[in-house]
Amino acid sequence: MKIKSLQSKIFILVVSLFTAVLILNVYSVFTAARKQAELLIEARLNVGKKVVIDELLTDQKNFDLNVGTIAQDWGFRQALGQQTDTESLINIMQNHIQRISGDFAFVTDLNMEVIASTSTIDPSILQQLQHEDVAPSTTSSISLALLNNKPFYISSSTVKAPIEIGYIFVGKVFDSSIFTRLEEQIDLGISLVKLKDNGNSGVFSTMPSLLAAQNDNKVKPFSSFSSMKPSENTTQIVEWNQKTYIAVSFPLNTGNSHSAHNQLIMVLHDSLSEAMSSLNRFWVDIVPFFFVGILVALIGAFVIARSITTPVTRLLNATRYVANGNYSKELEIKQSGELGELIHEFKNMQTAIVARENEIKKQSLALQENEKIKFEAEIAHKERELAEEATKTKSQFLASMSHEIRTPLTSIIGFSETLKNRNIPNKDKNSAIETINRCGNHLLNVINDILDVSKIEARKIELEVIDTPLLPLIDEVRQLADMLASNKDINFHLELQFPLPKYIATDPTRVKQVLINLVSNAIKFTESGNVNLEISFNTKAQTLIFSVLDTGIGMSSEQISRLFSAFDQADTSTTRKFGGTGLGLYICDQLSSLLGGKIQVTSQLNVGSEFQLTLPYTQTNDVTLVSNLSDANDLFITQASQAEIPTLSGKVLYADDNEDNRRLVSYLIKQTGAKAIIVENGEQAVEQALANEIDLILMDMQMPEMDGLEATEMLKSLGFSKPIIMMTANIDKDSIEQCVASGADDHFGKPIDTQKFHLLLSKHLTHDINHNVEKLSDLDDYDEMVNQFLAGLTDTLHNLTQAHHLHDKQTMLNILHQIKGSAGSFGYQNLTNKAAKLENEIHSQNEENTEKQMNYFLTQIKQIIEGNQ
Amino acid sequence: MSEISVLIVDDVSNMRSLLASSLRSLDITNILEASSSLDAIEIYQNKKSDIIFLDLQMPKVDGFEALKQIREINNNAFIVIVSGENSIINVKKAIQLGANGFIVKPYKLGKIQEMIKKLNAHQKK
Repeated sequence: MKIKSLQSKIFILVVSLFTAVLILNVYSVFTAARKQAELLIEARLNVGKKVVIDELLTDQKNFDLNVGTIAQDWGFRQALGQQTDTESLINIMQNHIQRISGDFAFVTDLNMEVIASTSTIDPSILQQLQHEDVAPSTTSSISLALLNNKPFYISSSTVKAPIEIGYIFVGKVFDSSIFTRLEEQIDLGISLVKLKDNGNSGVFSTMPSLLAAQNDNKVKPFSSFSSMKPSENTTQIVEWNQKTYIAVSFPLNTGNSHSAHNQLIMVLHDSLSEAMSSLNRFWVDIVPFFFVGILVALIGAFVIARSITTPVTRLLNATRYVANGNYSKELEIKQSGELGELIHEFKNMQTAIVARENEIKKQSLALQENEKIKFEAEIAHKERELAEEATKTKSQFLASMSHEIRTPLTSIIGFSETLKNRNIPNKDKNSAIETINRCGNHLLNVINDILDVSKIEARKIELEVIDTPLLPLIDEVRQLADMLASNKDINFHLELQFPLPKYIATDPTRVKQVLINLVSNAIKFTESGNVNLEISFNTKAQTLIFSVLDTGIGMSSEQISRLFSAFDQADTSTTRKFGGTGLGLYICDQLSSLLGGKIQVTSQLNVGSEFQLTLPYTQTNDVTLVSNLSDANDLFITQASQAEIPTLSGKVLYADDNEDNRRLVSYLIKQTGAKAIIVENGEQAVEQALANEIDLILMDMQMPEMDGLEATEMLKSLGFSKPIIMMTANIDKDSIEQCVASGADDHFGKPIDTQKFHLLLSKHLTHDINHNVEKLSDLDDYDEMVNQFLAGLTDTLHNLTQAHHLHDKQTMLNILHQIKGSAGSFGYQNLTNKAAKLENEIHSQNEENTEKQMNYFLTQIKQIIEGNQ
Repeated sequence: MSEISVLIVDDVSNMRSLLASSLRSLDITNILEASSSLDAIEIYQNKKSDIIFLDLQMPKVDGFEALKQIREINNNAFIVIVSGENSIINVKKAIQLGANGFIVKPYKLGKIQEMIKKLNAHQKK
């Protein structure tokens, strides 16, 4: 990387130097070319000026000579001297000007008073001529006058006879074609300009656009010219029409008194811009050279940069090799000078290092060889020992597990077989059911433990860390502990040492699992005395400490050391005596380290044990601390008194494909006084939910035909507004997400816990304290069914009335059919008879009789309902 | 809240007047009635009622066809099926065609109330 940057630095330096020199050169060439162009134009202007003046002067001289011949004409002089009539004077002059191609002539006396003229002389012309001071002069010079905006050569001569008697003036139109000819000759623009005080005006120009533009007030192309003496070689630079012109000007009517007023000047000009445009050719010529130059600079720069960096790179690479411990890479010396020397010195150093390195290697190899042999032997020994031990504990575990599973299963199978016998007394029946229930629960615990262990072993336990209210969690543990303790002669105490955090971020399920396990262990191993759960918060270490203390059998230090290993309980006989898989503490230990905490044990044989769970306190958004017991009591979830079954009213729809579950749930719902509609799949659930006034739906998640999720989705999309609870055996993340996605309001875990189930019902149904119905559990089946039938009569009455009102014969027949088939069974034979009669009436289409009978029938049902209330 | 406008579609006049009287008891009086699907579609094209109570079993053009066509006129229409047929096939079809509610005859007033509540939520969206 560094080499690269060095190379690019050199490269950039050389290229930029070269480019700078090139640009300077090009600039100076350009400036010189411009100066050259200016000088060239100036020289041409001066040459042109000379040519033009010579040309015009020659014309003027010829004209002057011709006019001289008139003045010397004897006839003319005589006519003038004798004061002959003006007509003959005019005739003579006319003849002369015809000869010399003049345009007009006139003769004056010495006071410049006109005596005769070939054409009418405008007094202003005379005045102008006087003003121009064209009085005959000896020196020959160009004399041009602008008459009626037309340029004229003017020539004059003195008339003598022999004394001076007057002056003759002859004018000849200036032939502008001369300009065209001159322009070709000198290759310069020619303009004739009249100087005026209030801005010059062009009279003629070889560039017609210049003349046209002078009427534009903004441009005024001639305005900047002024008169210069012909001898002066001064040029003027004029900007016009986005072009630069260089011009030279000189006067045409030379006289003695030259005021700027009305003076006529000649301007020669050439465009510098046009001259410069030819320089563009120069650019086209120079560009290839420019690029070749840049290319040469690039190649040169690259070569120079390379020549420096290549050896440096090689040195650097060699250094890297050495740094990595590879000394064998030989360096070639190609360079001479400083770089070559550097490489040479590096080589020497390399050789020295290689020698030393080899020496060290040889010595360490010999050392290693010895150590390795010893070490390998030791490892092989240890591994063998560990493998043997693991195999032993695993087979022990398998034996223990199969025992654990078989024992309750034996009871379940055995007692359920005795139940098949219908003749056994009720007392035995109840005790058998009790045992089956207990063994079933135990089996469930065993299987849960085994599943947990296998998950831990496979490292597949995922924590679900959420903001958890601490006190309700503790309260749940307390409720369970209270219940367990009350079954034995033990006092359970919960001791909270304030302040305690209101919320912690943790996995509540796992924390609860650990605490429940520790507490139930303590209760299990304590025959009499106390079990305490103490909770405190170490604000310094930011840890929560849960201590479970018991006055139980305690453990020896040897037992403690094996306490937390899987598949290994303190004593296999303990399992027999106290039950349990021996996996509980192993699971607790693993879970608490997953949660970032640890479990410590202190115990004394026959005195008691203390299990202390320490968890790190991870704070949530709410860092409130609870500081006294009364605050804490507010936070405990208000617990429903355990054994009490709530008295509820409402209609619950339950869908499950499993018949046993249907029977159980139906029983549990009816226990509370609520009504139950039980169906077998999602499709039926949808149909019933739409057709009835349902207050709560419980839905199994997995069902044939249509599952609970799809049914829930359908109902929610049709605006079903009552709560739908998903019942599911798998409460993993996926299932819960599916529940939420389907629109279910909540989920409920299976197998069904009676207490929790009643809590769920009382949460969603109306508490009906005034409803004075006796508990179904206290009634026998028949009474239950009678009551149900009577309760259903209200609905029947409503439906029948509605159907009657709508003349809906089919519905009426359906309802009547139901009454006919059921009323008699519940002691209302009269209703059955009436319903049968009405059915016949409807079939016979006797409207009048039907109406009469129906009204009577409806009144009778009303009376039964009222009598029952 | 501005007054809710209702379109009742049922071929049985008794059924329509029963529902209308139920609605009036909920203080909803802006009620239009149609006795066939074709009438309903024409009426809806002229006046977009806030909620449509639609019977399924009607002669000639059934409620499903009306549901489909009203959806085409206004994709945001709020349509409640009112049917004596609550078989799952009908319910599924109604959902596929985008029904917003399904009331089974005979019904209680509460169901109608629930649908009005749901309509309010729907309109707020």
